[in-house]
Amino acid sequence: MKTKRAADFIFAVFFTVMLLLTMFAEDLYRLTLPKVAVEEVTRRAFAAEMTGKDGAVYETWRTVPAIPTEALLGDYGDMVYAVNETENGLILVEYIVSTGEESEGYIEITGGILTGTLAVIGSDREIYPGQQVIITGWDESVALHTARERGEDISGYVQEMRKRLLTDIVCVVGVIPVTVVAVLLCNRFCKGRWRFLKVPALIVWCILVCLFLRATILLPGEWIPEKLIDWEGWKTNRESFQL
Amino acid sequence: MKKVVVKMMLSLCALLFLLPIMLTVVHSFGVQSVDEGNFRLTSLVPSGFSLVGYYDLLIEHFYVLRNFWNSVFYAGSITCLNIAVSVPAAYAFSQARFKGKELLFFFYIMLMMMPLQVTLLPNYIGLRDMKLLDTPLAIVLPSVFAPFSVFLLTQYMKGLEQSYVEAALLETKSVFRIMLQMIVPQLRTCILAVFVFVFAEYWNMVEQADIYLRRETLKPLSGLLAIGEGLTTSEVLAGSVIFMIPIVILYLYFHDSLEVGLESMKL
Amino acid sequence: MKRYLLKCRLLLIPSLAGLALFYVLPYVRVIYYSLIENQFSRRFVGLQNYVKVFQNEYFRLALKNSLLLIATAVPVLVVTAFLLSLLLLKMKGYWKLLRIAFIFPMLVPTASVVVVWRTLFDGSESVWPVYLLFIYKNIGLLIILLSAAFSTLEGEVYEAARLDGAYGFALHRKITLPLISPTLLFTILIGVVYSFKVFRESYLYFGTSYPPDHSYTLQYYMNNHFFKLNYQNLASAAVMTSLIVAVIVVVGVRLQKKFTV
Repeated sequence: MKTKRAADFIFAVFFTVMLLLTMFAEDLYRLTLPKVAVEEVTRRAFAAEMTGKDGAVYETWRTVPAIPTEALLGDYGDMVYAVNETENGLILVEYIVSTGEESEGYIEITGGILTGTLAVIGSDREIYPGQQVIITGWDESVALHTARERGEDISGYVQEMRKRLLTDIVCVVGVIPVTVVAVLLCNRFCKGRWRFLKVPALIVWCILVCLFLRATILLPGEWIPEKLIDWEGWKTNRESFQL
Repeated sequence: MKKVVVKMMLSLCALLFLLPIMLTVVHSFGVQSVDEGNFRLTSLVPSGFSLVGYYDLLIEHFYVLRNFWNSVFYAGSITCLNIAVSVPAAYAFSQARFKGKELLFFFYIMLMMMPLQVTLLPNYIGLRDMKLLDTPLAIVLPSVFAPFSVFLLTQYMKGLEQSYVEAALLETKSVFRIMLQMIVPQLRTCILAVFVFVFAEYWNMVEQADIYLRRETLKPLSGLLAIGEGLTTSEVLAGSVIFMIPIVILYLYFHDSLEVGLESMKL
Repeated sequence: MKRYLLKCRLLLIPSLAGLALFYVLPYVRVIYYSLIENQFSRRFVGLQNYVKVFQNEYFRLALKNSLLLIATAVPVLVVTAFLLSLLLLKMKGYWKLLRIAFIFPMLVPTASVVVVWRTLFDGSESVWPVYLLFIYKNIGLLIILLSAAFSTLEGEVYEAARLDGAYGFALHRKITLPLISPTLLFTILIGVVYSFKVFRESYLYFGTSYPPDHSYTLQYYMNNHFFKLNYQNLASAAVMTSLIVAVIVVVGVRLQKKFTV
């Protein structure tokens, strides 16, 4: 009897912890990532001198790609960390750039990096290339708006958001009937040692399970219920394995 | 005096047997030197205390959690379906009379004894022809029909009282009802034993996943831990402990049934 | 009653259908593959593939290692299990709990203990780490089976034997051994058969498909051909291995029937 009590305890604790971790591990992971501040490489006006036909020197300006001076790193001051968007999130990439003039805290870029790249201008800890980061002050709606104005393809992002919303709705609505059924079943069948499964613990559990489902659906990659039968995979498999 | 010596020796042996498990648990909380691709403890005596392994495994490589739930899904569904298929079959073996029953049963025994590498190829071909490769079903379906549980349940049933069937037949004509109401309760111990044994077996599965599955997201945790690609030693140790816990829980619940049930494993 | 018995047969159908679908029918195809030249020409070549497999040095090495495992590790396993269960039988009260230590490793996932195992046997160049892992994994089952056999022995038999003047070792040799010989044979059979299943432990221990020569067993041979998708070799090796196991099982079962009174 004692061993079964112990087993009950380990069972409840272990699986609750695993469920909670599955739900929140991704968020916790995000919290541990270094936060970086970025600035887009844009064209800026730099003062320039122009010699006229008559030999007089005029004050004028030219627009060239430029980044803040604090973005330049490395012993030679020619390295720039940029944030690249990949399937695995935002990843740091290093660029070697050639620089030109400096003015008002900005420095001209004459080569090595394109306009529109997100250059890192500060971070809350040491960072290195290849690392996953998150951007501080990143406003999704603003970013989305700019992307749309630029005419970039954002349908994948919108789809992802729709999927998240749908999953949330299904899970929240799903909690209620699942909990009711489970409570009814347990009141009917849980006797003796299993009494601890009755109402309060069970409600908590059902909510946990639904949240868990939500998290697993949203974890990157495919999850079993989503793609139980993978028709495309079948086809390719059939071709490659046919004797 | 002699008894004391025997007890001492046995305790020593028991300690020796538990040593690998205890060392795994203790070292998972210890500090390991960082050397990738080695997967050996730095020293047998643990040094320091840290949760780095657990933290790295569960937070940084949180995708491993998916493989953990895959393992739960595979082992759980295989075990449940296997029992659902095996109980009727065992019942038929103990009740029905037909020509070649002994031979058929011997065929089951033979199949049970076959090493996995032999059945792997037929299974693979069967799955390929049904275009099930690289799906969860590839892991689940062949294992559902593994003959071990049929064998054990049939042998256990031989030791049961048989006279109740005629009495039950007066009440109902449904074979299913007789099975569910009369047989299954009597088989409880053996079913639990089968549950634990089969669950542990498929919890430990490695080769099937390696061969039938290509996508990492579908693989169970066992293979991942053993090969340890992209993981450090301390992470592998933490994973080992996490991987062991469900088995410990099952054993704590059903250890007496397991022993009694497996005792009927004889010819 | 007759209809009932008829209906009982129907209960076998799910299990049989599954076996046919995933084991028997594909096995027929395996035999077919083992007899053709290659998957493109599909020319019937008789036993040529078998000959080729037998001439393969790796197959011979694998076969030798597998047989060596049976010849060395299995006897050790059975004898250890026999002695341990004999000793455990005498334990009373709390000491009975010692059984757990021997039975639990049967369930523990091999993947969970390999790190410790590798450390314990670091730098060892022999086959014994894997053999010990094999013994470690399987001794629990054998102890359960042997203990069950021991516990069915009646005390009266011993009393009678004592009166006849049999003591100690002689007592066990004259009484215990014949009475449990069917079980003992069955455990040996299990040991031999499970030694063919040792691949998983070995694979996890070495963490690679290409272990040192001394541990290259039949299963490695087959697994590696799996990844090369070399069907002809694989099929003939599978058929041969299954024949070897079948012969072992038939002989084992016959022997056991003979000893059962």
